[in-house]
Amino acid sequence: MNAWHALEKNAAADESEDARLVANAQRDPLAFAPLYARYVDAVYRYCYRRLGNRAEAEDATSAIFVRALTSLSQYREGTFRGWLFTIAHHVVADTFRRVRPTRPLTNEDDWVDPDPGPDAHAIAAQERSMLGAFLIQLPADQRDVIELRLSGLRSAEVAHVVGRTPGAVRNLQHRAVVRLRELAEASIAPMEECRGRQ
Amino acid sequence: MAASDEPTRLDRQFDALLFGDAPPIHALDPALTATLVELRTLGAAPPPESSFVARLERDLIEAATRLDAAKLPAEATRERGGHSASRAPLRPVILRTRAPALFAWVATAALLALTLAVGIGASHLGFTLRHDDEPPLRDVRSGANAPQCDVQPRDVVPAPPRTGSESRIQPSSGSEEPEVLDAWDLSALQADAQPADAATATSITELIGDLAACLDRADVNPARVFALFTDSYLFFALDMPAMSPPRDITGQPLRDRLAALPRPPFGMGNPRIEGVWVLPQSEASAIVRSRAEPESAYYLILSATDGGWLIDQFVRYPFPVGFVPPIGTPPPIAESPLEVAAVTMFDILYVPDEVTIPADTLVTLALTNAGVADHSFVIDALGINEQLRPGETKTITLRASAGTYEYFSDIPGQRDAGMVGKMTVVSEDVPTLATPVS
Repeated sequence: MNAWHALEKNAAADESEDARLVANAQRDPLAFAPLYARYVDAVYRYCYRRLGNRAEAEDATSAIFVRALTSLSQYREGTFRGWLFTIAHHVVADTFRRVRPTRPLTNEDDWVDPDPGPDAHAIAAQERSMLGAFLIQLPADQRDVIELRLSGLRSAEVAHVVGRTPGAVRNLQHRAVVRLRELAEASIAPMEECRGRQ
Repeated sequence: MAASDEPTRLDRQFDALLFGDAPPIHALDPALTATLVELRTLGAAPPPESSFVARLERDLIEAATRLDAAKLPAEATRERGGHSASRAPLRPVILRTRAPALFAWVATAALLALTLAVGIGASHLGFTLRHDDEPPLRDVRSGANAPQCDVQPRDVVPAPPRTGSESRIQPSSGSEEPEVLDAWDLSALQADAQPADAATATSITELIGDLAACLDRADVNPARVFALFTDSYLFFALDMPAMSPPRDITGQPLRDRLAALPRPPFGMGNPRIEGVWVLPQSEASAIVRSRAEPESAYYLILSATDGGWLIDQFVRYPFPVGFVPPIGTPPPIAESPLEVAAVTMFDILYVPDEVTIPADTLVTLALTNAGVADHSFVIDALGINEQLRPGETKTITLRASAGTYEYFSDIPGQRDAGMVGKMTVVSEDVPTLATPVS
């Protein structure tokens, strides 16, 4: 299964099924497993994209699910997916503060995974893609929105995670995409000019 | 189209790409759409490694068990009706699947005393068993031979009371001081029993194996396995937790077992079926021992329901190892698999990772892949190579000579990651060779 297929699968998760699984897990903590199985991929991928290496992504994923399990009784409203990614959002932010207190969130392009996994080459290629490079140049709030959307959340869920209104999230998303377009065009123009000289 | 609408249209276009929603009525700027399409490809990121997923799953189960165990003291107090465990009398545990009408005929003193002790009035015994708005439980296995761990509601017609079923019996051996117990009188129940034919015995043996497999799948929702009996039993157990918490076939409160286990599964161990009989009125009986609890024996009554056998009721007899069924030695059933073992695959581990089976005996082995990745079960020496996709279960039959056999997953990397186990085949005889049957 390719990564995007998994993302689509998670994104399309039936909220009512989530609600049923959450109700089970709130009665019996051991029934948390299906929720874990349903979201571990998406949460891990989100952490990996934000943190940039496997070890920290694993640590963050562990922290997210343990926190979700132990505080599930407090979950009351909104989608479970949105609630889970709210935790993920905070854990990733905590990781940045703890591990790289002096490094701004937007300068992650030079991070190197000291323990690359079997997919390292493929991922490196993806990260070398221009759009990926431009994405990390976006302001943190715009990048947050895009990353959460790419993790399978809808705008309303993203709004819940980042504590903004859905309208504000749509505007941030729009500004991010417009900015990405501008950056892409700016990088393409010199390349075409170079080709024209040849 | 006003530019102020563009964020909304872009949002809808993104939803169309991400979730397959309908695109916005008014088209988005093509350049922005192209950017969204490119962004979509950035959704790709490496999946978590299976060893990490398995490790985290174990950590979560341990954390969940601790959370669950924190609730146990209060529940245990209610269950015991205020008595300490050490003062609890030695009684057979009687679990029933037929609710109101049949409740009378095995209304043993133990059950009634327990009922009264926990303050549940007799009116509560005519409980409503299912809420119509509850979604059906999901299958835990797939395939043509999948056990129905979650049967649909059935209209089980109560059987008439069995003659002598309220008599008292006593253990025939093993107790230093024979004790009279309120329980089923097996000699009365078995009065009209006939040895089961091979097909019936095999079918019931497989059912017991299915039960073991379902229990081993109970890592996410222990209650659902009880639907293997009937829905009425399931909801009986769920609706009256204080009186009769969900129990597995070993008769031990499932929650206690879960709390005691450091990792999944939560199965019953390898059950040993000591005999199968056919009873009148389309019923059958069986005596089963769990190796996890060898001092006890279980008498099961099965009902021919929906074209198969359903475990309808069972009684646990906490007799010592020397227990001999009052009806005498069960007749042997030639060439029917009398041994059942179950191995469940999680992501990069087998549970159990050691299985012991008797030598030169047909053994039914239930394999279940409870992980999220493909796994296999391979024993080179026996010519066994079963590939299982997530959620899949297979049942194989084998006969092996005494010895030790390694089982492992031949999916690349899994054996090296520790997905190996040991099958010990024991016999009093000197081992010679192993012969796969199927």
